[in-house]
Amino acid sequence: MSLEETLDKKKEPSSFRLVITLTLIGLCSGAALAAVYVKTKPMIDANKAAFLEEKLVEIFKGQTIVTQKLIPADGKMVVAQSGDGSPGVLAVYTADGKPLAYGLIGKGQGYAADGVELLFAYDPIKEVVVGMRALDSKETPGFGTKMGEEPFQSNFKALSFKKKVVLVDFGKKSAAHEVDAISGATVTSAAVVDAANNVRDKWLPRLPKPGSEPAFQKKAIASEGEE
Amino acid sequence: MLEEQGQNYAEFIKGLWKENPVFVQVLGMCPMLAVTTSAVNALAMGGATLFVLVGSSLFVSLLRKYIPKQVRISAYIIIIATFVTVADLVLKAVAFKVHKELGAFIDLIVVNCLILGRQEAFASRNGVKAALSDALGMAFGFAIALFCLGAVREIFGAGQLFGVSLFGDSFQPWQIMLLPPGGFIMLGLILLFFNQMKARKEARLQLAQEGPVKS
Repeated sequence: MSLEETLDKKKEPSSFRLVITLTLIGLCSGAALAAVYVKTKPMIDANKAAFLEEKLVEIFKGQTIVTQKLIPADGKMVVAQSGDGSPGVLAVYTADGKPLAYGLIGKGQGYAADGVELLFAYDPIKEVVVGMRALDSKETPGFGTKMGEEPFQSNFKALSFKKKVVLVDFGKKSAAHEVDAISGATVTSAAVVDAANNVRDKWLPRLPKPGSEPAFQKKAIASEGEE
Repeated sequence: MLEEQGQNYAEFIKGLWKENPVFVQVLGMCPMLAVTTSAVNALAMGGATLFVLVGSSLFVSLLRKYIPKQVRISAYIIIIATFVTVADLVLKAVAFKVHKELGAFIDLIVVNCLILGRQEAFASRNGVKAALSDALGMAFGFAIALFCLGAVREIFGAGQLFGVSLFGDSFQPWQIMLLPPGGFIMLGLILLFFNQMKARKEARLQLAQEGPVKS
């Protein structure tokens, strides 16, 4: 072994040191992330709730509404504790606490890889959807925004959930459970119908029967959410 | 002391213009093209990148003598990923709607070659002050580039800037500007402008070297 090689060998740090360095950096990183996560989680949850509520306030324009989250537990829907991140529905009540509708969230596969995430406001007595808003969409700009505009939006003023929702060509809607496609954006329209059927299959069997809804428990957070 | 300050200032300035990460080094193209559909998105992305670049440069520079070179890239990636996750969570907590617009691109800052490139090329070889100056310069340079592209695309693609309508209702937005091709076209034009400037400067320098032409 030449002198140079011996010197090179001496410079090499031991495997132990390599492992220890990475472990320490990893541990510090984990601790920092845990601290930031704990600190930001309540704010993020509040933002998410406020965002959903804002969309519901938009749908029920002109009415004062309050909402609370319901989650499935032991075969029925119960009021979620604040900060509970498990999937559920948003029960919408009038200002004096009368049940009005449910906000159902569902995803549909569209043109973009992430799909579209939508909020449907569902009236359980008439069994119709009374409004729809996009929560998250990476669809092609221009096509995606058409989801939120007329004439597509008018499909969701009284869309029946009694039967599976069906997509038809633009202008061919003849039944309450049919949706007129956005002309030129069939994939996006299909994603919306897909999401509608997903929430219909998932939540309709679980929603409380009209008359047996859990009572409203929180103070009006609609006004807080708008602040 | 003064010399050191001058040096740091030079490190800062070079990222803004002479070695601008986007216009000159052509780094970080993925976020550059993907999120610059509006000026606000561009600024938010620029801010998040600034936070990650400055934070990770600080730590890489501080720890440069303790991180063995065999594991340096893994160590840098852990440091960068930590700052990216913090930026992601904080943005979600303070600017939820902007975060929704930027989507996965905040997470993808981890793989922005500008960040890892600065750690490897500069922060791991220089002191804290120099590393911070370099990181700030590069990050501001990146943010300025994002903002230029974002503002132009918003003006033409939506007829507005920072959400304020500029041309009234009669303006027909150029939809293509908000789509990826619009990003490529604008970026191409901006790079053309920078290359043109560089070529002119070089030509002037060459002329100056050759001395005045005698007639």
